[in-house]
Amino acid sequence: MRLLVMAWRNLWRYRRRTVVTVAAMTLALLIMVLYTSLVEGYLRDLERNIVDIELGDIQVVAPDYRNNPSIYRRIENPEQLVAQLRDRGLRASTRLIGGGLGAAGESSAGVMLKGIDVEQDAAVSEISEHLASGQWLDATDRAGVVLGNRLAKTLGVEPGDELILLGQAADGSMANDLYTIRGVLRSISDDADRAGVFMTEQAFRSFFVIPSGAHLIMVRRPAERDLSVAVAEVREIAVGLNVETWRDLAPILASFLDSTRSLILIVFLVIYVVVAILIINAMLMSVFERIRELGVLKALGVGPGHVFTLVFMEGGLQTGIAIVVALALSVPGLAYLADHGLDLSGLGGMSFAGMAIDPVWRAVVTPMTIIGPVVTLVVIVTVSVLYPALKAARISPVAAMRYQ
Amino acid sequence: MRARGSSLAVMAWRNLWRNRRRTLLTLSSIAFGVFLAVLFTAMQDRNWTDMINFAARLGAGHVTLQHPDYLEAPTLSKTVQGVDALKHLARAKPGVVRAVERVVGQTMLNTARESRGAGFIAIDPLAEDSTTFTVLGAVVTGASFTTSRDKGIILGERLAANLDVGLGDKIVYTMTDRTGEIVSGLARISGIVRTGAPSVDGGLCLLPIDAVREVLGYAADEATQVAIFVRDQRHADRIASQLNAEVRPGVAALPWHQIQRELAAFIAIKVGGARFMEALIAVLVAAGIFNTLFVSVMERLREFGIMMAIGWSPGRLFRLVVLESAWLGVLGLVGAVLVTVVPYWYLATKGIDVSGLMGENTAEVSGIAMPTTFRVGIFPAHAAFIAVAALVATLLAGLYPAWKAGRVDPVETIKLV
Amino acid sequence: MVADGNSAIVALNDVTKVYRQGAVDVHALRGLTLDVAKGEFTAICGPSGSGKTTALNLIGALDRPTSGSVVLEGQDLSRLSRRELSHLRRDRIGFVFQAYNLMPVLTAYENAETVMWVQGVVVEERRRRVMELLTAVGLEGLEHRKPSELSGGQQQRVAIARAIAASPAIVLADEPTANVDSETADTLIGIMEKLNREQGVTFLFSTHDPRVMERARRLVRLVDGEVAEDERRGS
Repeated sequence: MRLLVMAWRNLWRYRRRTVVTVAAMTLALLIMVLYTSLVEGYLRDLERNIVDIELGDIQVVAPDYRNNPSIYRRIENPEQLVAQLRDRGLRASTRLIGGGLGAAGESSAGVMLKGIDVEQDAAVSEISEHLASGQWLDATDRAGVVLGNRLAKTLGVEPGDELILLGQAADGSMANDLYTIRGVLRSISDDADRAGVFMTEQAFRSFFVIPSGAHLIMVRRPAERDLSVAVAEVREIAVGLNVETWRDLAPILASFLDSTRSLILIVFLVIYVVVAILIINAMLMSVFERIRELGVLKALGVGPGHVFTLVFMEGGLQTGIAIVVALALSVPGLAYLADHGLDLSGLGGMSFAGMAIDPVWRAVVTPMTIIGPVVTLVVIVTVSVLYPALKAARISPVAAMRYQ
Repeated sequence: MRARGSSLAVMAWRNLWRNRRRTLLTLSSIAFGVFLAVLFTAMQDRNWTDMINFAARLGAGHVTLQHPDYLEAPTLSKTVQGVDALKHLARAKPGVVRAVERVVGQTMLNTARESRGAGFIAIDPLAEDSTTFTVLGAVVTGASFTTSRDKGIILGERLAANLDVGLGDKIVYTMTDRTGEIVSGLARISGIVRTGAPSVDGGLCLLPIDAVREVLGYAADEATQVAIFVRDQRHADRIASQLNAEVRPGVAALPWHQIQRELAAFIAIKVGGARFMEALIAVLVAAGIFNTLFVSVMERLREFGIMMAIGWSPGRLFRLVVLESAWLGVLGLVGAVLVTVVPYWYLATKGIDVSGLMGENTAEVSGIAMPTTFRVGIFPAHAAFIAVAALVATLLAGLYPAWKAGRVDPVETIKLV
Repeated sequence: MVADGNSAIVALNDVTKVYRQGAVDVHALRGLTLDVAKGEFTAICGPSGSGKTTALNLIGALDRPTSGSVVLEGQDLSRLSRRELSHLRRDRIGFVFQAYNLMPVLTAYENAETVMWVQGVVVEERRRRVMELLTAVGLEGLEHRKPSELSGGQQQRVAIARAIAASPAIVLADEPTANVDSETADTLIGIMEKLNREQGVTFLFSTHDPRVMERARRLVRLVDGEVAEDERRGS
């Protein structure tokens, strides 16, 4: 306790130096906390786009569908599978997928048609909440379609406009029909944005003349069930079919999500090493200007351990202040970034590995986004203070008294 | 006791070495800070230039001449006429390396059983090679077209697999012409490309330009774009604005970042983030320098008081401390060069292969493959900026301590033991 | 003139001390033999460079001799580890320095209790003892001042209180009056005399202040690191 009091008072002998050191630590920590929370928010947004909207947790397709996604490679009994999956507590919905050409006015574009069971799909995907304009599909409106945003731009259309779809039906005939655009999606992924045309399952079936079967079953697991457990369950049910997790389907994104969280540590280290040099220098200065005083303490019989602790506490107190101030300052910063986010939409849309990134980055605060930067700082400061503290502990009283 | 300017610098130099450990630590923080800034910047300069060049060679060049409305509504009706004259005009500009004409649009590809939508790029095979169009260097089966009137088509590998076709097979390509009519052409597969980029391999086909002109009813010198390639991507803006001043109405010159908005946004974020981190590092380093100089002034107050008492002016003391910080800045830069040169050389020539981080697939940013080798190459202007910024930061950090030194009261400080 | 071995607190036997200063060997002590008995009030005097401070440093377990032995309360210091020496200083030796050397961040009260605090004496005991000592050195009412708010003489009184707080076997005072005016010096000597008389504290000074020499009851004169004269006066 007495050491703590001494350490505290020692800090204020060179007020300006202490203030500058603490301010530098505070600034570094504050920015790292905000940065980590922003990255976390951006990763979650990406993950949400991947899992909640684009891919689901697990997908079931016919064997070889991935290599050759043709409208002929279908799951024959999707309704039965969906019912079985539901019995296991898994949410599931079927999708039909086929290629074609979309035309509106003078423009045309290659499109990917996706037939959706509107009611079932609400349980597996949040896509219906991801509209930039207009409305999502309605099971009763069989002529209504929803488009990816870049496709809508390419075709120069907006909700209410008409769209002609061309394709080759399963019976070999030329499919050709007129639709009305109900809505346009926000950015999801390169594929969906550039080519996605979403329609009701019934509309798809009549367009492509596919009365039964489905191309894909999208499966979601309950939050508490592990992905590996869920995928094993799906494999048991979907015998003879191809079962893949979103990690198999988007390996780059999966490894990006995994690695980015740990790569933040490198950013911490880079910034904190600069802080560390600052602290070592400040603490060394404070030890050397007090060499005589510390020598007297040792002459009086204060052991090296106590002297070490004293210097250590001085570093610790500065870090403590920096942590308290930085966290206090981060509260309004994080609140703002969580609410309003960092709006980068002025820069235009972005995507990574085919997955759209929301241009408004919102901070997400988790225990790790606070603990991570704080603990790394504490570790680095601890290591930095070691040298000055050891130096102080090893001062020889006689030499110190002669030192001017 | 009138010292010349140079002897003040000598004195500042000696003062610096009165506390070697402290000076060395401060220098190390400057050197480390500059080292980080140089590496960050060099990595970005190199990577973004690579990606921009790559994007240019995958898409529409560094500068694109096209119909003013094509960017908003890219349809085959938005064409430019007189492309030969435009190419001439562009090639005459200093810094322009190549200029080629293209027709770019969307099509549907049909075989007897399958149909797929895809983007198409129609090129003049005699004018283009892999330096203007990367995909031409990725032909794995077959070959490029021999003339611009060939009845050939080159498909991405995955697209070909999806359509279940191989070399020599027939394909019908369907597109809407400028009047909205649906028109078709027939082609035989003359080549298959594999680039590793999913958007190319699974969604792009190449056609000979005159064959497409015929199908679409275009004139012989009509195209949707003229792609211009420049030696240094940083000059794209200048060349685009020069061209804009000279071309007739109905043609617009756009630099790459207006066409590749997503890539530009990605780069802007990365550059902004790096600049921010560099500024943070600069502030932290400056705080360290401030601490050092401040304490070194405080512990010499008595000395300064004596100097003042024997006739030094406050201005001279101020200059002395400023010179000390200047020495720190200069030495810090020297140290920075020493610690940077070897890692920089290694990263500039050898690079680090980071493809392992992303698995065997290529990561695409806004449809442009990220370089899988981590290399550096800084623009000289950026290196100069970092050096100047480091010096300025050092001098700024020294101002307050120097002012403090100049304000010493000789009577007060000499009493102070 | 060797004092009775049983009552000797400190015994230096043929002690030499050689410092290396640059390329030169400085012989600070050349075979010093000296005993200090319990309850003595001794001053070591001599010109500067005669080895006074070195002798005190050796007795104070701050330094080790080049040869010879230093025995404190029967313990040969050369056989003790650094840690044991540190404990010995804490428990058995009090220091008063020429430049006071109080901790600038601690108050008079806190400075006086420093040693007891590292000894781990309980708070109540510390409080009682410190107040008693501060009263004895005439500083009642000033206990919450920092050293910078005290005069030189007052600071030295705090240093004396600090030195004797833990009831050491001996208090070593290196030129304790060198930095104060003559009136204050008288007061300080008076305080130490009183502590010596009333509480039996053993004092050993180094000094070249004639007033201190006058009042010492034993005066050892060092010249060139050897005892030139050892004079005892009746109490």
